[in-house]
Amino acid sequence: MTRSQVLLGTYVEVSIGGLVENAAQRDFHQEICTVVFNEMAKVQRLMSIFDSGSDITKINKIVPQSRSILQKVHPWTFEVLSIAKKMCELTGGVFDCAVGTCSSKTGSHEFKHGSILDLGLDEKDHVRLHQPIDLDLGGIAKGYAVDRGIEILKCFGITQAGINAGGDLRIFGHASQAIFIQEFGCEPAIFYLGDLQDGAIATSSNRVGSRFRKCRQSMLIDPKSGKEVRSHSRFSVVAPTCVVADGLTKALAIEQNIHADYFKQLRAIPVITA
Amino acid sequence: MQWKSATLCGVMSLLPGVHLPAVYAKQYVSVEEVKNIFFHGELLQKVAISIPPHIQTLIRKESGVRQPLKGTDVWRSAEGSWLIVDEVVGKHEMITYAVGIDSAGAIKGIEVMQYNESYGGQIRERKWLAQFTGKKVDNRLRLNEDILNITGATLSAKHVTDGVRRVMILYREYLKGYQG
Repeated sequence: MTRSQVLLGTYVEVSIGGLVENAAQRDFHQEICTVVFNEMAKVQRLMSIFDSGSDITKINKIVPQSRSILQKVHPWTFEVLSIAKKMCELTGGVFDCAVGTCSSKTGSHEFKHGSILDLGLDEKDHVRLHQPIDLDLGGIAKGYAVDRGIEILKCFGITQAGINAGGDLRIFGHASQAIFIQEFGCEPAIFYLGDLQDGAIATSSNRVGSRFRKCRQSMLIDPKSGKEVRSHSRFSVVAPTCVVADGLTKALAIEQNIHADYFKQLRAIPVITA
Repeated sequence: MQWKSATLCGVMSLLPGVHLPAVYAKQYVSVEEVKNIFFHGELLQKVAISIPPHIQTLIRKESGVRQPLKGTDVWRSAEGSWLIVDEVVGKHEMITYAVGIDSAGAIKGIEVMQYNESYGGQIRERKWLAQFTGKKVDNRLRLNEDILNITGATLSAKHVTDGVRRVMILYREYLKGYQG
């Protein structure tokens, strides 16, 4: 069975595999899906820049003056920030979620300085700010939400399932599943990309500005230079977790280097489709 | 984790396929299932409502959704909870969704029931896909029946968000004071 709700600004599908033998089992699976959606909604409340009460909104509002400021955050937010910082370090700053808000907040590509590397994460569940920062966890928060949902499904003893959050997806179970990629260009279509078992895949592309027209303005920005990524390829990354898959698609889109060390270090596989 | 790519190297070109006119329909849950999910067996009665033109105008202005809200699929419980099934139409997609509202006027849940997407003649034929997936394809890829694992740039859910807003305007302006 598959249920779908609108979360994290997109359509989230939760699929539980296997035959449903009776109404009680169907109800049980539906309830599990509800728990998964609630878990993912909690990630949204904690990490969305569009939620005025989220940890990320609070961090972005802080303006340290003469000395640094310590801000308490939820353990999940701390975990995602830690992962994001590690990915920033591994990719040499190519992935940096401290500059992702440039286009989403202002509608322009005004580049602001600041990096997630400026964020102190030495004290558990606290972040230390030395200077103003403009965080947007966006995609990796979505990936993390998928990962949390998967853990819920496993906790309930489900053996074959998947979660797709608007293109960031993770599946688990004994069977491999066919993965398709959606094309939003002049010819909307889906294409077979490969078979995945027990893993996650995410895709970044500039082809999102208008569903069936090529995007006029790039959605991808190189955090080092502040310049737009001018490419109409699709950049997919297969990884053990969705949070890593999503984060590394940005690095892949910017560097377009499928041989970069960070893919091996994070057990990820890059796929570029032209 | 195991990944078997459609190509041997990390960079691939998507091959041209045979074009077929098609609508990709994802059927998630039925009305009966939504009732169960939101109201756990609470008895719901279908209500025939006729939305007055001035409320339709208000709904259109406030929500920004152009197509009129039909209001043909509305249920109410004895306690005053509501279930409204509505659909919103985008340029190439039509989404049927349900909104559950409790007796205090709070949203109990929002569920996507069906997602239809027209590929305007560009969807790739199953046989073309079969050259990659072999015999397994018939079990795993049945367009219009199974939910596919589709990755890609994030799809905005703005249509449903706007739709939910108009359902809540309908509740505020009409259903809340409904005497039946």
